[in-house]
Order: sequence, then structure tokens, then C-alpha cells
Amino acid sequence: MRSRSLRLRLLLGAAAFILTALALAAIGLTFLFQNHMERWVDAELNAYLDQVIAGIDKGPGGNFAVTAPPADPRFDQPLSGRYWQVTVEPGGTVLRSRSLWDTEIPVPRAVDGDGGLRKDRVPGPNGTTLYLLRRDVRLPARLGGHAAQAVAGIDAAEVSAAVRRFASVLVPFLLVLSGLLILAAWVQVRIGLRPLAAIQGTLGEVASGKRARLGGGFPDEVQPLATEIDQLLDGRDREVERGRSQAADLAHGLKTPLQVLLSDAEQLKRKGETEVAAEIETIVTALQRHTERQLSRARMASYAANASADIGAVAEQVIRVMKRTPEGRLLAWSEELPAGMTARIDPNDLSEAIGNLSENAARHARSEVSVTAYREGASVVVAVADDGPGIPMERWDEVLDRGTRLDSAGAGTGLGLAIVKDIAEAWGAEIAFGNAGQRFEIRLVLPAR
Amino acid sequence: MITSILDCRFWLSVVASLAAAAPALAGDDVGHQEARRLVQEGRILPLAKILERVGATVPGKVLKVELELEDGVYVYEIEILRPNGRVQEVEVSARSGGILAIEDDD
Repeated sequence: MRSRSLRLRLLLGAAAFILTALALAAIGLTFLFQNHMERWVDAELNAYLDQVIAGIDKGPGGNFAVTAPPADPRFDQPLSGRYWQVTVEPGGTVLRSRSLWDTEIPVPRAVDGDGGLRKDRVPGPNGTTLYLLRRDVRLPARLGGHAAQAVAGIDAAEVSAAVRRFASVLVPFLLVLSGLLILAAWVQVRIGLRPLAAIQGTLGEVASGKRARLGGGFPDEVQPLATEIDQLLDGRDREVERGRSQAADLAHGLKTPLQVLLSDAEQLKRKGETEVAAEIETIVTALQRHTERQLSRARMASYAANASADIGAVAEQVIRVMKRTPEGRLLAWSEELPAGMTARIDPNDLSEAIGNLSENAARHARSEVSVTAYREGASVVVAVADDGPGIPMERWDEVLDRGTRLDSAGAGTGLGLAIVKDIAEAWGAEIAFGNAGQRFEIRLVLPAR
Repeated sequence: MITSILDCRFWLSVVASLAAAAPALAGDDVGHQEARRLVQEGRILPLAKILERVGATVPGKVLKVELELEDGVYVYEIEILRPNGRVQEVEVSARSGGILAIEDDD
């Protein structure tokens, strides 16, 4: 099963690579150390050999002896692990270091004294294995010109123990190193993938409207992705715009024919066809409601992140217009609109929303309508209140549905509050109702800017 | 053939004692050439075997090994550094490998 996390995959890859590389390093370094160790041992043994060969002489009794053996005390200590031995032909006189004590190194007899240096591994004293150098020489004429063979050896376990010690120090060190490298890889992956998180965050801002497009500023590898997404968003916006204008055209196109149909129905009524006329009227009214709503929707500005509306200015303008309408002229209008209060909404949409709320209030008010605005946390609230009968609490949800009319009489399409709801939804605002004493209030809660 | 080459490094210094070497005196050091001859003749045990037995009774690091002929008996005198830091001398019968004495043992 493949992991779905890019970070985990990169990290696992890096860890596998690091561990493999360091394992190879451990093997290689140990091999190098062993090589180095053996070369060093060879040099030591070679020096011993030279000294032993130089020391071969004849004693007073005429017997061969090594008069100046290597001074290392380990050649004196029995079974110490360092040994030398000389075999002189003919007769095979064997001279040994004291460390060999009661044992002898089994080596092939000297044959020709050709001066050659050879390496050997032979069984040593006490069950050990000896690593030894041997050299065939011919002794000086003074000593009879005999062929002789000198060997110098070391317990092979000493060399392998040194290599083991080296490895046992090396492995923990490399483990710590691999841990650090994997940590570094993790940090690298985190930092390397950060632009993806950034693009996600920015995309979230685009979705929530805080920002129009992803824009630039991403690393070269991620920028093409951001650019593609921006182009997609552009295309989507164009599509939406085209759909919106087509819907508006359709609604506009329907308006006049519907008006004509209404007057036709009027004529039918005059001719006595009241039943058919009423039916046509009902249907045409419904159609008009739909076209009206479609038009208002098309008018609604598309969501823009940087939209801003001054609530005081918009609301005052709406109230000025309302005061001049036949219904508004009869009412007392009060307003409480602090200056400098802005919300994230297109001013035209806000105007339409407050207008619809005010119209609604004016239609139901007995004598007065008030429009107030205030700040509430991160929101701005526009409250339109009237002293009319209000709406019973259990029907609050219902009035927001399209075409619902609580009053069967009077003018109006029953679309006012539905349009307000559309606007609220488009701009992330909420609608709340409130009955306060003799007053009924509808609040539009907008995100503040 | 002279058999008592005691220690090659002291060749010149032992020349004087060579004459007295053949029948070794009581308490005399026995050299490694002699020791090899004795092992080959089966008169004493190989040192490796001796050390193995001593190691079982008195474990430690072997510092010094000497073979002596005391009153006609071959005795190994082995100096051992015990793990507790004490240096002890152990006398072992070279013939049987039996421990004759452990110096300063409580």
C-alpha cells in the first residue's frame, strides 16, 4: 500500500537512503581500518624480522643464536601473542623467542634463502591463529652461508579485536549521525513542502472571499500551479457572469409580454370571462414574481473580497427615498446611524437589502419606522424596526422563502425578504428577527470591514 | 649440545654459568629451550594447559611466568594480577599441573 502523505514518502525515502549510505560507510570504513591495521602490523613485524635476522650469530659454543633480539617485553612473556622464530639449514636448528616458551611455530623449512617476504596464517600456541611474516635469507659466509628462515608473528585475534573495537565505536557513532541526518531530512521536507500549505491557506482565503486570486509570491516550482488555479478562477468568473447576464436578459425579455398578458386578462375580465382572467392573472403574477427575483439576483454584484459599504451613507439614502413614497410619507422615520461604520458588502446590494427591509417595515408600520446601525463584535448590525403587528415567531423561517406572503392583501410580490436573504447569503451575512415590546425588528448582521 | 640457553638477551651474561647448567641446581631458572625439550619428553605439561588450570582456580591476568627446578621438581611460578588489583604468585607443579601454593591467599 502506498502512503498518501508526500511528506512521509519523502521522509521514508530519505531515511532509507541515509541508512543504506551509512551502512555502506560502516562496512567501507571497517574494511579500510582493517587494511590500515594490517599494514601497520606488517611494518611492525617487518622491523622485528630485520632485527632478528641481523641478530643471528654464533655463540661461543659454535651454536647459532639470536644475540640481539627485539627488545619488546612481549617477546619475553610466555604466550604473550608476539613471537619470532629462526630456522637455520642444514640441520634445522630452531631459535625461538622466549614468548613461544614450549611451543614452536610450524612453518615450511627454509629452502633457498631467496630473500623473499611471505605472509602466512598458521596455528599458534594455545589454540590461537598466528598472522606472520617470514623471510628466507642466506646467512653471511662468516656463519657458513647457510639458508635460514626468520618469522615474526602476532596473535591474529589481536588484529581482529582491534577491528571489532573500531566497529563497535563506529556503529553507534553512525547511528547517531543517521539520526541527525534523518532529522535534517525531516526539517528539509517540512520547509520544502511549506509552499503547498501556503497555497492551500491562500486558496482557503480565496474561497472565503478574503482574497480575489492566489497571485504571485510562490516559489518557482509552485507558482505555475497558482497561476493555473487563478486562470481557472478567472474562467469560472467569466462563466458565472455570462450566465448571470443571460438570466437577466431572459427576465427582461419576459417583463413586457407578461405586462401585455396582464392587460389582456383585464380585457377578458371586462368581457365577462372572469374565471379565465383570474387564472391568467394568478399565473402571470407568479411569473412576474420569478422574473423580478431573477432580475434582482442578476443585479446582485458578484462577490468581491474588497467590497466595502458605508452603512450610514447607504441607509440615509434609502430612508430619503422611502420618505417620498406614498406609504413612507405618512410615517415618522427615525434613524441612528453612527458615521464611519463599514461592512464587507457591495453598496448597491446593501442599498437593495435595506430598501427591501424598509419597504416591508413601511408597509406594516402603524406610525413609525426606525433604522439603526451598531457594531457587535466583528459584525455590523443594521436593524429596521416598525410598530406594526410583527411576525409570529413560529413563522420567521417561512417568510424568508420565496413568494411567501403573510398578508394576502396589499401590494408587494412577497419577494422582499427572500431577496434580502439572497443578498445576505451572498455576502456571508445573517438575518435575525426580534419582537421588542410594541416593535418588530429585522436585523441584518453583516461582517464588518 | 648445550641446552640451557636461558634468555637470549642475556647470552653474554649467562656464558659464565653455562658450565654449571647441565644438571640444574635447586631453585634454578629453566629456560624456554629446556622447557620445550621437557614437554617433548613428556616430563612436564605444556604451559598452555598449566595456565588453563591456573586460570580456573586463580583467574586474572598473567604477568610473569618462570619455570624453576626446586629440589629436582619442576615448578612453574606464575605471577597473576587479580581483578581486585592484587598481584599474587602461584606455584604450580609443572608435571601434574596441580597448584602447590598460592601466595598471600586469605
